[in-house]
Amino acid sequence: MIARATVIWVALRVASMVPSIPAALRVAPMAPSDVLTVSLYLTVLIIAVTVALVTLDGRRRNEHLFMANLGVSLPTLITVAAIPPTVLEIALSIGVLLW
Amino acid sequence: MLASAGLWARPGTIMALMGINGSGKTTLLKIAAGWMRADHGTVIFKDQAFERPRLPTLADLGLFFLPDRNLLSLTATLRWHFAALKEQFPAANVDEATDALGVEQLLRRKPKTFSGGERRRAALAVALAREPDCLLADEPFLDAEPSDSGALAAAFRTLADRGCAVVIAGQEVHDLMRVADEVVWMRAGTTEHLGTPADAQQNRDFKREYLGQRTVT
Repeated sequence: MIARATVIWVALRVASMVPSIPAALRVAPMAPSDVLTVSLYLTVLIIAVTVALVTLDGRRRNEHLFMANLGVSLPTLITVAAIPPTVLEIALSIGVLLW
Repeated sequence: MLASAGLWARPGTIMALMGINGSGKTTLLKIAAGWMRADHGTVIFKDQAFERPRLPTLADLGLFFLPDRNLLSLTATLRWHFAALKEQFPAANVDEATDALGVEQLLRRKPKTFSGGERRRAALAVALAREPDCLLADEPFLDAEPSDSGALAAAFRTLADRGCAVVIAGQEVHDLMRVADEVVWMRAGTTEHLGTPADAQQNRDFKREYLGQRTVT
């Protein structure tokens, strides 16, 4: 689940960069902040979408019932799914700010 | 769908929940397992009453719910499932369960590649390894081959002999009558306790409305 959340987060972040790439290519030298948008709104949106997609994917794979039989509730699964995108968003924000 | 249904699972016994399609067997099991919410009613498990039971809470206490559809994650190997079970419940007896249900050769495969019988055996192997205090199994004999039915029945008996309260819902009259200690008949959203399988076969209404002319041995 953590690996899946990480992959989905990377995919969403790449997707969010796509609209900025043409404009960024016209700037030389290009900095990460030219393509990586860091804002509270986008961060929350990406975390929420990642969690939603991981949760839906877990349901598609029929994992929730098995996990429930192990005593793991849906809120716990959602919390676990939220950890990778949250950590990665924080790391990305710090990285872009420090650049 | 359910009117005034009740289910009382006793440790060490196997109860067969029988009834025509749509009579509410699956709904009752899901409610009892905390996988579906009822409008009214209480689930009492290990002297604790739950007005709004949740499967994860009941599972922590020792309940296991085997659904009619696949229990296992389709894209993780069976070995992963046993590892997850062992991590959560270190006392789980995986080797004995895989041996009892003959699923050793399935450990490296993913359930999406299993046949229907293999899925049922694998799911019950996980339940057997868990050694729950109460097992609610929905349609475990559905489409099972004769050889699988024997292994499934033996696993249910093993669990009951260890003190587990087993409830099995289904339509496979011969399999259920053979393995059950008690029969509960579900009709029109209510439950009726019929006693032993022999008693159930003497019940005129049960014979006329459900068994038809069948004699179950």
